[in-house]
Amino acid sequence: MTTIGPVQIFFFILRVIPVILLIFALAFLYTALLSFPEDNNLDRSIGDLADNIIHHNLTSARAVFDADELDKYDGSNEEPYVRYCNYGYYLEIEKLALVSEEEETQCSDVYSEDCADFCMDVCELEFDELVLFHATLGMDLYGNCACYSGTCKCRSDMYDEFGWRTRLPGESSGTVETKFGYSLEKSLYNEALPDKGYFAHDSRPDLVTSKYYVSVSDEDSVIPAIMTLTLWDTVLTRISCLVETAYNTMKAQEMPIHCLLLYPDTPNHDCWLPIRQSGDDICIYYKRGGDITDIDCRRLPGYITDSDKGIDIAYTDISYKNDGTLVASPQEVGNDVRIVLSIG
Amino acid sequence: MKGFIEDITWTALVWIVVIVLLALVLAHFLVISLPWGPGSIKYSIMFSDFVNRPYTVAGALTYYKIEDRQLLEHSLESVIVSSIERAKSQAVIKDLESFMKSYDTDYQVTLSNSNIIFSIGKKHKLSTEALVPLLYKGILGYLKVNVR
Repeated sequence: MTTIGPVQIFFFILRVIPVILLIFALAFLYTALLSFPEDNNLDRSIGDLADNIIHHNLTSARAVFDADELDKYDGSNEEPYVRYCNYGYYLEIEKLALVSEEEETQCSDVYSEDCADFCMDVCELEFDELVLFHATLGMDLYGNCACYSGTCKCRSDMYDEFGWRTRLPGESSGTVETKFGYSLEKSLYNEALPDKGYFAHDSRPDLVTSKYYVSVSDEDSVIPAIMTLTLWDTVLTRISCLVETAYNTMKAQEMPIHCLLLYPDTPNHDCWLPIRQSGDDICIYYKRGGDITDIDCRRLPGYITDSDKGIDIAYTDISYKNDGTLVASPQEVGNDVRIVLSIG
Repeated sequence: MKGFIEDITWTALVWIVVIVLLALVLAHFLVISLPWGPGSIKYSIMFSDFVNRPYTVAGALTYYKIEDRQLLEHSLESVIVSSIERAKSQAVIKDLESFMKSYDTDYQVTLSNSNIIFSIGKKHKLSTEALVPLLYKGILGYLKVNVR
């Protein structure tokens, strides 16, 4: 039988102490860890929306846009056929001209004068901005000026995968752009309120943009095109969705609202929510003196604006402290539905 | 004496392991909390939409008219007679190249039955493929569209 002497006990304690210390240290440090799950909802939604758009009424076949349908909405702020309630979309269609070999600039070496001249001409780059790259078929392209398998290519934006050009997009190329949908002009907020910017949002981005290869119908054939889709998540898109849901359900809807730093004609810098209906749009406006300027508008969906039952959004000009809850309360007034917005 | 040396060795080992572990954990937390550090550790789920690209291009090509017929008719007739010359579809290659080049991306379009009838462009290693089957009285061919 072995006996445990004081020396063994001493060394045993000496070994146990650091292990206990380590356990406490780990427990202390890891209880300080916080996890914040964030979803990339905008990224996911833009793919879904694009897939819906290229299959819906704007197209005559999969990804073949109907030129007449595009003309119908060109320049408007409508989001036709498929849309997200919470997010507004903006659609741009750029028709591409067919590229013939004669129109391209041939090259054997990107460092040749021809290619540099081409890049400066076509993409309006300065000589000291050129980032040259020599590549063969199947390789990734870098920089903004490349000799790619015997053809000069350039792009104005170094990070735009879809920005490469092989020739001037002049009038002869027949490039026509169709644009419509919801878009936030941040400059309007900035002009109206130069010292406060637009609105206090959280850290998430308020827009995502994605590009798709599509085509536009042309008599009995098609023209290749690029569809650029931008999806916006702003205070106004959220408020318009709140109004829309209140209209559809005839029940009061609520959402937390951040402090909007709009303070027309108010000496104290309160949060301010100036909302009004302007025709078929719901708008955030700016007021100085008697003048009212709409600085951010979103078109209400067609099934509301075209229905016999009208909508009347009550003129809202609310001052409030810090963050609050925005309530949209529907009321039936004659044949219309009146939506009253208030801060709860 | 032997037991005494063993006690010292094991105690020293335990201390070394604990100190190394503590140093690693502290370094991990320090890197996160440094003013110029990342601040937090993020794991993101990325959503990619590039897999859709060959399908949208194939959709467009289906309705693309070259001379007197649409590309789909040229392709089907070429598959039946196993030749673009015999199908009088020689113009397809040049026009199709012009069409695909306008997207300014890596592409490969191949028409085949049991043999390759024609193939233009070169596919990128990251490209994805859309397959358009062409069937006529037991003859099967494919129009394959690879787009990055």
